[in-house]
Amino acid sequence: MKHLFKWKGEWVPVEYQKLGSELWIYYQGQVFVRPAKANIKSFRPTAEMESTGVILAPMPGKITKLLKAQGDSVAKGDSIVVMEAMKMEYTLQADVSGILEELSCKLNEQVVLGKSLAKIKKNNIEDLKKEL
Amino acid sequence: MSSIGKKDIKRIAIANRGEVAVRIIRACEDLGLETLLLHSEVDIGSRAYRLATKKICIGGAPVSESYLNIQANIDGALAGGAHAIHPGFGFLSENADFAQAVVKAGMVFIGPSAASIRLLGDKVSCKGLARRASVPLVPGYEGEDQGIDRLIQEAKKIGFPVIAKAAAGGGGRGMKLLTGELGARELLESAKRESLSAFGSDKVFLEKYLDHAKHIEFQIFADSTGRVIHLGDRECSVQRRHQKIIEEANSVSLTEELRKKMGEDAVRLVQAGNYQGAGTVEFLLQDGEYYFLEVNTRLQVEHPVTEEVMGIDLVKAQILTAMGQFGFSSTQKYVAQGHSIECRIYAENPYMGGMPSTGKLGLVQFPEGPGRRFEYGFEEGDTITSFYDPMIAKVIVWDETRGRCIQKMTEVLKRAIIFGVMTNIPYLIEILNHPEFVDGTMTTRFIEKYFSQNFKEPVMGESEEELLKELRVQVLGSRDFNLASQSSNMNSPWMQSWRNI
Repeated sequence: MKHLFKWKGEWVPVEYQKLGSELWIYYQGQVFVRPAKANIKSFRPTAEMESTGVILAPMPGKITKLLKAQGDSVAKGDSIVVMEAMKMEYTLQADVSGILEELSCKLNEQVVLGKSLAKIKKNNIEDLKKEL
Repeated sequence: MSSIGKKDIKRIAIANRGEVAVRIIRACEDLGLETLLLHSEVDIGSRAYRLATKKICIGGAPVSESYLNIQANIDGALAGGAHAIHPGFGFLSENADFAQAVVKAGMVFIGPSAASIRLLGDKVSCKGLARRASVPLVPGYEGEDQGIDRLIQEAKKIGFPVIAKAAAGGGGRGMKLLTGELGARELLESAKRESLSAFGSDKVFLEKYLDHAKHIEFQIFADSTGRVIHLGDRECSVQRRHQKIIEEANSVSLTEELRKKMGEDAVRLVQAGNYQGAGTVEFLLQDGEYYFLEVNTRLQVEHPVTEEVMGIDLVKAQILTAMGQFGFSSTQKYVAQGHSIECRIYAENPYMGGMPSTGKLGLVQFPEGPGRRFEYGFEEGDTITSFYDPMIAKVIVWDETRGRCIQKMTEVLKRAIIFGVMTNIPYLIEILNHPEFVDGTMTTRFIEKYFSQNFKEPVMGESEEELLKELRVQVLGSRDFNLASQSSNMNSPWMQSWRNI
């Protein structure tokens, strides 16, 4: 440990480093990542970003299979896109039921982290009623 | 072409990258040999690149252009004046065509002969060999008819759950678990695609999935005279998506009788394969019955745990064997002492289902100490890309007992610092201290059973959050005079708030 940080009268061992837009902190056996600039949230997809109907590339990689076409109706849990990264295959699934409104990636395309790959328009109660 | 004599090996080419390339360089250093790293364009920023005697770029970042390209590796090795090639693990290490090409080019392949790799490394032909050597097998299908319909039909015959595996591969890629007929088609197609992309062949085979089995393997070593010995067992039951995460030696699950029987079977099987060098025979153990799984005709990722308990150097022994010298003494008896555990550090976000985490590494710091060993391929400033396997380091500990190993590993991991990419360290600590791991009864379904739910980021205490907030303010430059200025590092204005130890 290189640093001691004075906290409430005690010297606490910590380690930190500013890397680009992130501040990395090691404290008591854990690593924490915080935005390095106030007001700017670094892009790290979080669990809360799910159930929006938008499928984002969870990592940089290659699209190896498109299992649904634009305009298809999809159910929550349906596989939509298959991608490959670090020699592993990842199947990206719909997190909501609805209509595949937009498919914004092509087969064999190299995509960057966080790219929007597909948008699903959620079924709302009204639509479900109409269907019935 | 004239062949290089075994005694003339002075420079060894390394057809690999990352931590294993460093491992091979270290063994060569011990033997006073020069090394030639055959690397891809992006791996200029790696520890192996900085440590190797010579280096040659053999192609672009995609593995098909570099690490899986046989001709590029041969050309590079010849251009760099290498006398032998060490393939490490993964990539071309179990590729018989590569072993053959190395010999044809007049160099020594550090590993078994191409014929031996074909026989033992091809899972299908190896099963035939095992059957003839009366080594028990798991029921399965390994036929040439690879039509999806036929595969589904065979899976039904074996009885679900059934596992589909790449015939040419290992390491979990191309493996899929079929729980029933529903969804089997999609999974088989996916297994074939992954297999084709990772190993260049889409052939898969099926076998019955044992749902509470332990993964036990035996380290085998055959010297240049053909004498085969085993160097004890390892347990690798902690696997996620069929990829090992934590390994140990010895397994706590074997009785001495079982250990003896399995070890003898492993030796017999490898003897039948006319083997040379290091290899591993893998078994599944369920309800006191064991089944032969496969032979890995190469060094294993988890070889250090065997080295720790046996007090040996397997990589050095591989090289010495290739030089026609003895790897292990024929008069000494190798007996395991104490216990050893290895944890694989993956660059991934543990709180998001193990999603790969890429980027430039910041601080990398491991807490050195007795019985602690760190195998790593990247340091501060190096970039972890999505082109390769996400394993960036291995931590190995040795201690007198398994309990002490678990405790030591937990403390070591807590003090290991890796900035720049997220790692699975918090996840590893959790696994190590799970009651089923602690009592040693875990099976290959351990992760699926207890860690299938998204691993949650620990909730921080109020004062902890407050400290981080304050620390952030301090680091980012807002001055605050309640901090003592005892730092010797004056490069940064806010370093004055810090004290170096």
